[in-house]
This record gives sequence, C-alpha cells and structure tokens, in this order.
Amino acid sequence: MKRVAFILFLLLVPVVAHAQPSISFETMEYDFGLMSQDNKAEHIFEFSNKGDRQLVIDKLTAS
Amino acid sequence: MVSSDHLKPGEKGKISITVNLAGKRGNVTKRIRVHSNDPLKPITILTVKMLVKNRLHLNKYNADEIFSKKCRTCHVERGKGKSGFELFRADCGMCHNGRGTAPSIMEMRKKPAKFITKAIREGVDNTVMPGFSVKNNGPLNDPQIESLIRLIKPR
Ligand code: HEC
Ligand code: HEC
Repeated sequence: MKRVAFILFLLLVPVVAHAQPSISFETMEYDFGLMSQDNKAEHIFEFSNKGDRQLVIDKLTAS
Repeated sequence: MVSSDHLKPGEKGKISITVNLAGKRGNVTKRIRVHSNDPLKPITILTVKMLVKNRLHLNKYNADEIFSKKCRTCHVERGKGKSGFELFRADCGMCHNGRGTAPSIMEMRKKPAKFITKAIREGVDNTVMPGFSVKNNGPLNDPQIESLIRLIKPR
C-alpha cells in the first residue's frame, strides 16, 4: 500500500509542477546605442505565457 | 506599461518602456522588474541602456569645429581670461577628465614637454583634439598656453 501511494505521488508531481503559468521573453535587454538628450527612448518588450495556467502580471517597478 | 496583465496560456503580451532623456548624460541604464505569478520566475528584470549625448554631440566632428559659433558657448567662452587650472577646467576638462578617450593630466604628464606643447598648440591629428593657439585659429594666447603646459608638466 505504501508503495502504491509513493508511485501515485511520483505520478502526481510532474502534473502539479506543470500546471503553472510561465512567463517568457524574447529578449530581456535592449541597447538603444547613441541617443540625443531631446528625445525619448521607447522600446517594447514582447513576452508570452508558455505555461498552462493564466499568467498574471502583478506590477512593474523601475530602478 | 503592460498591454494586458492577464494572459491565458499561449497568449502574447507587450511591455513598453519609455525613458525621458531630458537632462540625462553619458551611459544610462534602466531596469524594470516584472512581477508575475510565475512560480519559477516571480521577477523578470528587463534592461534598457543607451549613451545619451547633447544634440550637438551626436555627429562626428572635425577637431576645430568646437571653436565655431554654435559650440563656442561651452568650448571657448568659459575659458576667456582664465589661465592654469581654471582654464583647464573650463576648456579641457570636459574631454580630459580621465573618463573619456582623452588622457587625464596625470597620464599626459608622462609625455615629453615638447609633445604636450605641440598637442595644445596644433592639436592631435585624427582625433577631436583641436589646436588651441591663435596661430591655429584657436582661442588661447601664448601666456594661457604656457600656463597649461606648466600645469601638465610642473617644473
Ligand atoms: C552646452 C554646452 C556644449 C555645447 C554647446 C557644445 N559642447 Fe561639446 N562638450 C560639452 C561637454 C560638457 C562635453 C564633455 C562630454 C559630455 O559631457 O558629453 C563635450 C564634449 C565634446 C567633444 C568630445 C567628444 C565626446 O563626444 O565626448 C567634442 C568632439 C565636442 N564636445 C564637440 C562639440 C561641437 C563640435 C560642438 C558644436 C557643434 C559642441 N561640442 C557644442 C559641452 C558642449
Ligand atoms: C573635444 C575634446 C578635447 C578638448 C576640449 C581638449 N582635448 Fe586634448 N585631447 C583630446 C583627445 C581626443 C586627445 C588625443 C588622445 C589620443 O592621442 O588618443 C587629446 C590629446 C591632448 C594632448 C596630448 C597628450 C597625450 O598624451 O596624447 C594634450 C597635451 C592635450 N590634449 C591637452 C589639452 C588641453 C590643455 C586642452 C584645453 C586647452 C585640451 N587638450 C582640450 C580631446 C580634447
């Protein structure tokens, strides 16, 4: 019985571990090169949810 | 700014970052932390970087252009009537501060006086170092140049 429970446990772990959101960025760094002071630097980072649960972005903080 | 903060599996999103550059100078790096419910990556750090310059400094210039009208306010006027260290700070320090490509006073001190004199009077070919003597259409008279040589190579 103990052994069956253990096998069940092993089977469950990957399933549980898999059911989660997964944030994935194409790039995480961007170099604008040379910029003039009187411009604004604007860039768009693209990302996707590669997991199998809903991904929630809580907040963005700058530093 | 994030396009949508709830993404279904497979869905795509965008995060746009805007950095206002007014008043900024030199190497600028901004990091944005993206907090999410991904248990393996609760925080993703996005980085943008750039080298910010004054509008007048975006192009490559010939050395002596810094004496031209639109550049004088910073590169010539401030040194008027000054000599020695005051003059160096006004006219030379912006380039010879040890941070850019131009050598600092300590580094220049290692060179022979003759070489230093020639560099200040006539400039250095193929660099942005202009000739500062009046004879080379520069703004500095002989006593001023003498004071700079003395500063770099004290006797
Ligand atoms: C508002 C003041 C100001 C004006 C106007 C100005 N400069 Fe400069 N310049 C500086 C400062 C300060 C530096 C030091 C580098 C820096 O902080 O960007 C510098 C550095 C430079 C350098 C060194 C190379 C570099 O990019 O660091 C060159 C070449 C130069 N200036 C050329 C010019 C020319 C040519 C003009 C006119 C078209 C001009 N500057 C107008 C303030 C000025
Ligand atoms: C626009 C930037 C700029 C300004 C302003 C400037 N320099 Fe230079 N200077 C340079 C650069 C670049 C070099 C060449 C470095 C090299 O050889 O690569 C140089 C070279 C020199 C050298 C030769 C030293 C060596 O080790 O090669 C001397 C001496 C010198 N400068 C003195 C001065 C003095 C004095 C002033 C102010 C009157 C001044 N410079 C203003 C950029 C500048």
